[in-house]
Amino acid sequence: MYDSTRTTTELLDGLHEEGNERAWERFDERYRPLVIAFSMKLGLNDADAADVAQETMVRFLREYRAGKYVRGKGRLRSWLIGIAKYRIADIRTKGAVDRRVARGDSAFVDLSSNQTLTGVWDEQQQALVLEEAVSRLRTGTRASAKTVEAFELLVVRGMAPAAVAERLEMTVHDVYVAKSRCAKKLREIVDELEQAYDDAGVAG
Amino acid sequence: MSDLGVTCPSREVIEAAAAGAPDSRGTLVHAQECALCGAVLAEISADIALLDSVKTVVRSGGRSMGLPMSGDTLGGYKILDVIHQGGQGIVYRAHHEATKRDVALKVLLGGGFATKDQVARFRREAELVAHLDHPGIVTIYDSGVDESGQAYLVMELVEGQDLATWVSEEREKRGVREIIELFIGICDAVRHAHQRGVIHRDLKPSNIMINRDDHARVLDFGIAKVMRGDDNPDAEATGVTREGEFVGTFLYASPEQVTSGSAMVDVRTDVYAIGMMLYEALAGRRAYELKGGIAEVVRTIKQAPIDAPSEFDPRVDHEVDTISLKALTKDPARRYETVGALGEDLRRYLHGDPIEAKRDSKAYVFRKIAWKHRISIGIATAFVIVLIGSTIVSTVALIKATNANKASNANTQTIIESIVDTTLGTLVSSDQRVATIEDMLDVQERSYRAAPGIPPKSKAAILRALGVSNLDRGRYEESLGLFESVLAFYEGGIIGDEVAHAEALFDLGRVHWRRAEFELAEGFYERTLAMRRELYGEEHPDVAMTLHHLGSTLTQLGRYAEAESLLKQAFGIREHVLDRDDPEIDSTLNSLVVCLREQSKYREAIERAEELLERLIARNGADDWRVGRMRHNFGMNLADIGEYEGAEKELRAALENKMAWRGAEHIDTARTLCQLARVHLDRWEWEGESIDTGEVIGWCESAIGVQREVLDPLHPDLVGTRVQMIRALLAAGEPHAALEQAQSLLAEQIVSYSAEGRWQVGKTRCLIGLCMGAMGRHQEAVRIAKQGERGVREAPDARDRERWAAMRRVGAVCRAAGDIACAERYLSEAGKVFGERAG
Repeated sequence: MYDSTRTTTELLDGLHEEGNERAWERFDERYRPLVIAFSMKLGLNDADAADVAQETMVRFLREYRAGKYVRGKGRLRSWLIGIAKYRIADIRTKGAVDRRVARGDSAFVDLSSNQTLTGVWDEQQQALVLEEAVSRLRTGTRASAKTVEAFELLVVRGMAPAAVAERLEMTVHDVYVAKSRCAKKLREIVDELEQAYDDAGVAG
Repeated sequence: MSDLGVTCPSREVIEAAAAGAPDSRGTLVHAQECALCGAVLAEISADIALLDSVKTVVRSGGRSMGLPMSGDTLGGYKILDVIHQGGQGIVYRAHHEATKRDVALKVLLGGGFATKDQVARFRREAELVAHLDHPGIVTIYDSGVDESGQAYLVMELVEGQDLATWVSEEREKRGVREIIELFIGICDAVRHAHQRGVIHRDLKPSNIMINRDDHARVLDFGIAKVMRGDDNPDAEATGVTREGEFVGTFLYASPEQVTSGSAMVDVRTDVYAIGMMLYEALAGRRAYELKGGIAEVVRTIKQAPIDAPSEFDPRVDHEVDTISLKALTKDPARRYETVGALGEDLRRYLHGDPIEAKRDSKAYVFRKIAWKHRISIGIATAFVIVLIGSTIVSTVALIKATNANKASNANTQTIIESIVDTTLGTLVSSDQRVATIEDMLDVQERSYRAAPGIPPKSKAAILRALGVSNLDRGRYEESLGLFESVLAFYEGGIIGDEVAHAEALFDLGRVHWRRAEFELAEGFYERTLAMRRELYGEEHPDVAMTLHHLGSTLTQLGRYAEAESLLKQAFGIREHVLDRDDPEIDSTLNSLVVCLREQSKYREAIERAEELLERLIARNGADDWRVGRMRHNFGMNLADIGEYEGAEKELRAALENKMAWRGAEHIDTARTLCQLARVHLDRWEWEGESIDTGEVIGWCESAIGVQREVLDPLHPDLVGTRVQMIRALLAAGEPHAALEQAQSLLAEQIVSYSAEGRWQVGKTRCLIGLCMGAMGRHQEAVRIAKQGERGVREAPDARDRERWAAMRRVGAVCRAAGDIACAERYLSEAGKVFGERAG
């Protein structure tokens, strides 16, 4: 789970403290899934992606504590991509044939194009934020269970409003109302999560 | 009303219109003309864009896609809500209509994360766990695949928290014993799986659920391995994990697990993982941190030295250190061979028996046995007595068995002779006495179980005798098995003897009690009680004995009021039906005193303790060592309620007794010296009396000298004496020396205790305040004393007496600083805290 109350900048401040395990755990929880999703999008299987994430996170921590990454001078995204892409390239070289067969076109994404990699990263971050937002909507909001169910059936599953209404014993009008409420809540959650990433830096 | 002079549609109507609801044209036209409604419509349109991206993400392989949601039905289970979403799967609370029960339903996350391996592991988990039936393992009720190909697993729903949460929220509040009790449960569950050939291989805190009664349940056997025979991996099962591929969580992985691949993994891998979790629960931190790349992580797991947990939490003693470190030995050959062995050692520790991890040291074993039996006439003598005692118990029980069935006379006679011969032989010939008698019992047990032709009644009696012997030897696991076998004779209707049946139930109560499984013990004692009341009525020694045991069990479970009532019933019957001098009456009285003290019924506890003391003296003589121990406790209780004169009298008598039995250089004697000093210093501090400070300082020096030899610097006994020394120096008008010692103690406490919030730290701060006050540093004194008092007040485990003392001390410091209002406030609060309770 994300800790939305602490931004990435705050977490990075905490990482300077040798014993601050909590900050590291939070930071790790936020970025490890992203590195995994990023690596998988670039053609790795889940086990390899997990290895890349492990090495990326640990190496980042070491470099950060050694003062190599300065928050004000560059985006965290670029730094993490910089670490991860060499691990990904190694693995892709070793197992190129298998992975092309197994994963299709994604294995051909050009690792030398920073713009492409940044695009993949942002896309995965956005996807994770949305997934997390939906998950929170289900479990972490005050919206009634029925409201959220109506929203999911209507939006996620694409059921017809009348079918949703029948299943949940609501009026069609109420189904729309539920959708509206959840959308509003979802937007708030997404905004909050995006703010937590807080990765403007100074230069891209 | 809008600025167009017409009624605006409600927001909901606009929502419906934007989503394309029929008959919405009018609304849309209105929104184009009305600024207010136009803005709402724009917002809704933005929502639609957001919702489209949600739909795209979720449908294009997002991990949440394709998963059931509340209201759905999967295999006859109605999904209620999400309990937990992990990296691999999602667990829901679900309801089974047919059985009307709530369950936990687990499904795999979809998308690219559900590899073939994961699906295979998931299905195998269902098959493996279906063969396990243990209260410590989450039961799998059902599994299947629905029409959309979604595999699911239906499990028992455990209401509680996982071990990681439990450790982070509870470890500070709980004692080491409670932590050990929890881990005994974990060991029992994993051992059950091992006995059925299943190695878990991924034991970690998130795979252990703790229910509201503090019982552990092991779950997630997704990557478990099946053994065949002793150590042969099931070829099909290991195929699920590619040879050499690491499976599991690095943090809890054993050295052999991260190097040799699955073929080398055996039950000791689970021993290591439990050891790792135990370490975290005890030390409040991990045994090592994993940093760097995979190679460095593996190197750390294989080579990093591990500090003893007591380095990080002074509540942990050396024996627990030894157990925890033995479970974490890098070389599997030197680790506990089985999880059962680890669990048994934890049990031995709880019961004060010698732990196996220290068996290498003969001196240690002798010392432990001698201590447990409190016989101070020389270690060797103690040992011989224990052995003889054990033999006598076995023999007497066997003779009973023989008498019970004359037909088997020849067989049982041979058995008795065999036991007596072997035991006597052992006594005169071997150095390895403990091992020998245990080995002997093993041999005897095997031969009796196998022996043909012994009638069931004799067989049950013989098995019971062996169970009793094993119980006395601290071999609870073996004892439990034997007693269960005995009970089967009666419950299965093979023997119809209600007296013996009740006895078998009672035995099981006893063995569960010794295993600290108090709830199980309660069940057996309840059944025994009902049966014995039926057999004998109320006024019978066996009924009283059962009431006594049941009462003591409820005390352990914290159900003091019920316990008190049962103990009083037991006491009443025993007084009536037993000889006046019967030691069983003492035993019930003692349990009653403990139960009363726990309920803060100090006065009644003291009355009962006094009665018990009189009885002990009458039966054993005033010089008996038990009388010394009781006098010490009694004196301490009297001091707690301010009856210093009586307290001093008892403590001096206890001191004399201990000097005679234990000698001056024994920690028991030191403990009494410390209490004696405390009583004098209480009279000085709370009553304003003058005392002989030279004498008190002498007691403290003497006690500290002994305690420093054998105890950790922050052992509660030693801290207690150091506190008295600080007070004694203050009383002697030496605040500088007192302050120096107090500051040194505080520094050690802060460094060693893992967190603030211990009342002991607050107490030391209050003392520093007193020292500073005596030196005229009033402002600092008030500040630190108040800080200390707050610490004591807020600590959950501080006794009333400590809270009272802290308030009185702040009051004294304020008064010395001239702040009379503050002084009066604290003194009046102090009166409220303790005055009412002590009465």
